[in-house]
Amino acid sequence: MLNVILRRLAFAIPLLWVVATLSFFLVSFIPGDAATTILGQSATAADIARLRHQLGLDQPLLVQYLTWLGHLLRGDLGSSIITRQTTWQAIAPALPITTTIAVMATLLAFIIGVTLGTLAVVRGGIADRIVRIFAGISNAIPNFWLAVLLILVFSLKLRWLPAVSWVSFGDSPIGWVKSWILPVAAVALAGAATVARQARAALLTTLSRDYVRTLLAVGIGRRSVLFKHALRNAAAPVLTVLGFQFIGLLGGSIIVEQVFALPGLGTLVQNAIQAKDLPIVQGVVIFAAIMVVIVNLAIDIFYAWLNPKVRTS
Amino acid sequence: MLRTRFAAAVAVGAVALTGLATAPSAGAAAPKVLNIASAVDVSMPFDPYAMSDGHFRPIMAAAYDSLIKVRPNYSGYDPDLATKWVWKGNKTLVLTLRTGVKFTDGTPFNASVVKANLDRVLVNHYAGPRTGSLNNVASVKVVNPTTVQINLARPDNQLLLWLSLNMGYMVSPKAIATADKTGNLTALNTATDGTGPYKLDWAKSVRGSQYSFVRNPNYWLKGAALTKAYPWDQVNFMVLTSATARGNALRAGNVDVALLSNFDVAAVSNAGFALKPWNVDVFRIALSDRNGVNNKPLADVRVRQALNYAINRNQFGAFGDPTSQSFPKGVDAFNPAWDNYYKYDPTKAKQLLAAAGYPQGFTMDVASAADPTWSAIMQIVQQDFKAIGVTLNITNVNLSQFFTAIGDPKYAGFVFPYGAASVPSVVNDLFGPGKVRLNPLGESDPKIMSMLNSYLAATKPAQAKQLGQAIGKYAVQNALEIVLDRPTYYWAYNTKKLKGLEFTVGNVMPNLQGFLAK
Repeated sequence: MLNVILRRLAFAIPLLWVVATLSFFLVSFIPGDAATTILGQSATAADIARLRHQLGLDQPLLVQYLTWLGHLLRGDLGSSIITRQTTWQAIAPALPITTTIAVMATLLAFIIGVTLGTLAVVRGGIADRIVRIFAGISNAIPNFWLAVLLILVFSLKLRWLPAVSWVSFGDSPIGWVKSWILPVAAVALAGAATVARQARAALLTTLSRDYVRTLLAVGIGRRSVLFKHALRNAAAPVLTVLGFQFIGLLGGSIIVEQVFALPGLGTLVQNAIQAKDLPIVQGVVIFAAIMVVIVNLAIDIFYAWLNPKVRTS
Repeated sequence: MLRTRFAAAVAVGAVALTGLATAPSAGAAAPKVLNIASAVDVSMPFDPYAMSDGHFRPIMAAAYDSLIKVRPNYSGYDPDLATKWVWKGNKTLVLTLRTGVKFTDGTPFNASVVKANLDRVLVNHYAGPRTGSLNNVASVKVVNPTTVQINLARPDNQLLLWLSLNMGYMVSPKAIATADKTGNLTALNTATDGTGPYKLDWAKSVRGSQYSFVRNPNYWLKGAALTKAYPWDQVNFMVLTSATARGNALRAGNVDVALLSNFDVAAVSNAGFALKPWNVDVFRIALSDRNGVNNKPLADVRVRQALNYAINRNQFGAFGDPTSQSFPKGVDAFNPAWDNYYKYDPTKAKQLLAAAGYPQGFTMDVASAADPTWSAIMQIVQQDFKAIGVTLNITNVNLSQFFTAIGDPKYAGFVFPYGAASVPSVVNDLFGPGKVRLNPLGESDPKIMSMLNSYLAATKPAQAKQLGQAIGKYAVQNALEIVLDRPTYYWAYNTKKLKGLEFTVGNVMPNLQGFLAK
């Protein structure tokens, strides 16, 4: 098991290098640079040239890349060209926001999805059809549209929850909960639908296996077979989907963060791309890649826990 | 039992979530808090020399005092950190400074501090969005602790205006001492250090979401005078870059005042909020190739005039005030008569084109952005041009790459709303020498630059007004650009907290004192 983890971590290093290098050169293709963003529309060419020199933006791209890579190897992700804070200082306040939404939405998607998927299989008939219709509709609803709808009902009409902005847990635990309920609901629905479909399919497959028939034949109760054996065996594909959901939420939070005006990682990277604030873009990309590696590793460990064959392979 | 406890916990949680648990206790004087929706993220160093103006102005005014205050209607100047100022000739300004003023870090304010601030640009060549306004300043001399002398290399009658905007906001010398190699004041990355009525409370702020300002205990104004001038105990700037989010936040009660999208005006008004229309910018097709280097027809003034006559500006009524002149209201070069200088006359436009040798018209490309209001106006212009034989190709460019894209010489011009409230700003930015952002091809107009120098040398307001009018007339007569309208921006505010908004000429956002408390 330890070997599996070490192998995965070793593979992550070249992966991170490739991701970081690609993002560096992709962002550099965007026209303009941070100096023009900083100096505004009245800046003279001389002012822009001076600032470009001070920021090192007049260096050849390869030199900029090597300098950046050298700093990265020493653990220095650099500082924002616009706000002048270090990359970690920029990411640190944004991270809990995006992570909270991603974790809560994944949990919600898991609870709703597995419950509905199980219900569809156990009850069958109308319940199954309702679950499938729910899954179809939920997958078709764009999360930004749902977000606007939720704001309209719960913020503007009922005034139960805020339409925008974020409150940290330290400032107000209640305000914190209020600030993520709507964004989480907006992004969790599609995830719940996907998990429900996956749970239903996996459970149906598992329940059709011979060992389930054998368990039922020897007199073990249906409930016990379902919860102690079938669900555990059906969990692997569901976990895979959940892992993808979580990663997708980390990377795809830009739109929902825009709608709710949340200063999460999505907003941070979007603003950084627009301002050509390369160190921040790089920092977020590398950070996101690390998160992907960690989540995938966690899924592998879960697989091993669920299935002894994985541990020994 | 367990189920009962769970139900009780859910009930308590529900009550708390609906806000009842956080109701203030009776009798306690609630602090007066103003929540302002900020359309831009101001998460830069909180340094007035690093900030732009516009949306940043109330933030700067919260934490920093300027040397001089410009009156909202530009009718004159009032004291701030400088209590008196005297011109000696047209190249020397002597300021007498307020005494007993301290920065939030406790450092006293004096003439050396003024010099240290201005020398960041004059000596250390720090470049920020507004540092170019000190281009005519040669040096600063400390006469005594309460007197400072500013020496100009060339006459600049706008110096008082520059000292009332970014360059006049004074930062503590302790913060200046933290400058890094690029001149960035690291102490101001997450703090303010000024003499203003408020200071940034970083603990209450969330970068990219909210910036909270609380009262500065060192502020020089005290007691009733303070609460009259600055009634708010706390001012929060909520970053809401999406216009839809600003409208929602206002209606949900998360903010008290916001700049709206024109498409949200009706809904917000129907919800009981007061509206304040404000025309600050001038929307134009800036002819970056007005000398016809790549688009030959534009070199002929008759062609440029024809393009102006071809447009029926009355069709823009829903979006703003139609106008043909480059300068915004309130500046010396503005004249109400020139709003209608190019009265819609397609026949005359065709005659002018024919006289210039283009009876069949020609084709020109301009850059624009995918903004719904811009697009609506440009579609009208496109149709009007078509009627006189001119094909207008419009390329929509992402705003983040806009200023790079418009430097492409294939574009005869670009669409842009711009409303700097000073004659030299408009002239320098649009017609000045060098490839600056709003004059990306560097096609200068020597005549107007010469007129500007005469204008800047004028020491008497009446003389400045006369020379300013000459500049405005020259720009409109020679059709240096195709001016379309002054767009109407709608602000909305909560009438339970605010009795109105007072704007300063040329700025999209009220100054801090322009949010008038009820």
